[in-house]
Amino acid sequence: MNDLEQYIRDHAVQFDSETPAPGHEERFLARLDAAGSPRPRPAALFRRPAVRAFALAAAAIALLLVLRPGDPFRGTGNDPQKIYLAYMDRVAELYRRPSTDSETRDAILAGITEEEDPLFLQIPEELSARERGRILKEYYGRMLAAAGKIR
Amino acid sequence: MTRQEISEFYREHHRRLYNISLRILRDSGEAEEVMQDTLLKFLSAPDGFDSPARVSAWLARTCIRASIDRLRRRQRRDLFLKDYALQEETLTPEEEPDGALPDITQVRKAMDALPEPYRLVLDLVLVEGLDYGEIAALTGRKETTLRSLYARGRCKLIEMLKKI
Repeated sequence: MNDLEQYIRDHAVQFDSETPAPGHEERFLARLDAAGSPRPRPAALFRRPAVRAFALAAAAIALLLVLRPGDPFRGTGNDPQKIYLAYMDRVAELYRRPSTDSETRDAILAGITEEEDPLFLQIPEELSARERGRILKEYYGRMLAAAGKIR
Repeated sequence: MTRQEISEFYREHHRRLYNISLRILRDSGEAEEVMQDTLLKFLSAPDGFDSPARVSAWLARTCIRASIDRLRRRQRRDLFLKDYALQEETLTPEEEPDGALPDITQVRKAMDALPEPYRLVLDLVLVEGLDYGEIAALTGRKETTLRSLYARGRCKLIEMLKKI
């Protein structure tokens, strides 16, 4: 660590000198109020044990279908940017995995996963959002599947 | 938390989070939004923090991540989604300015004036105190790339400070 770097670290607190525009706290409290609307109470029906157990089981199944554990593109919808970022997150995880020869592993991973012109930027706008999402997920999913086999 | 406690919590943390986000996004409106999103997220999360330091660290990381996500959305072709091909380049270490170091406000200005990729990495390393592994996890960039960006940014910063 040289002098300049240490100097900046020592004075890091002075980098926090800006303040938000006036009224920020009121805007925050308004957002807090909007976010904190009371939840409706469960209907009397759901207080019955059998109905409640059934509802919980149904909710768990629905949750599994929605969350799709293990799906790298969970929660991305058909948004190309989100799909790509989810892909990048998984790639970053692959780089972080321990390896006996990380240099070679990294080179192979880079060969598989890096794109000169990322597909998500090239995919035609004329296609429907759903179709674009499907193509991107399939394409990046295959790259992840291949990259995941590298040790 | 009562409303009063929430207000106090907000006053305690908002400035730091706002500045973190502002340095990344360079837009006060967006920085305020990210800062508030971060605090709202914390308030709606289950209480699992055993010390103020952990709360502070969680808030900072969450704020940085949210700011970087916004930056990526805003500039999809820039910093994170484009390769800079820096790894192969040999850098000549720049010598530091002779004599006393400049005033910290001048250093801040010089850092602000750096091109985005360098500014961001220097800021996260030096001001936020993150290591390359953490930054790699937040940005999806390789550590080698981040080290190159840092080294180049440092050279540019010293170059700029010499002109002051």
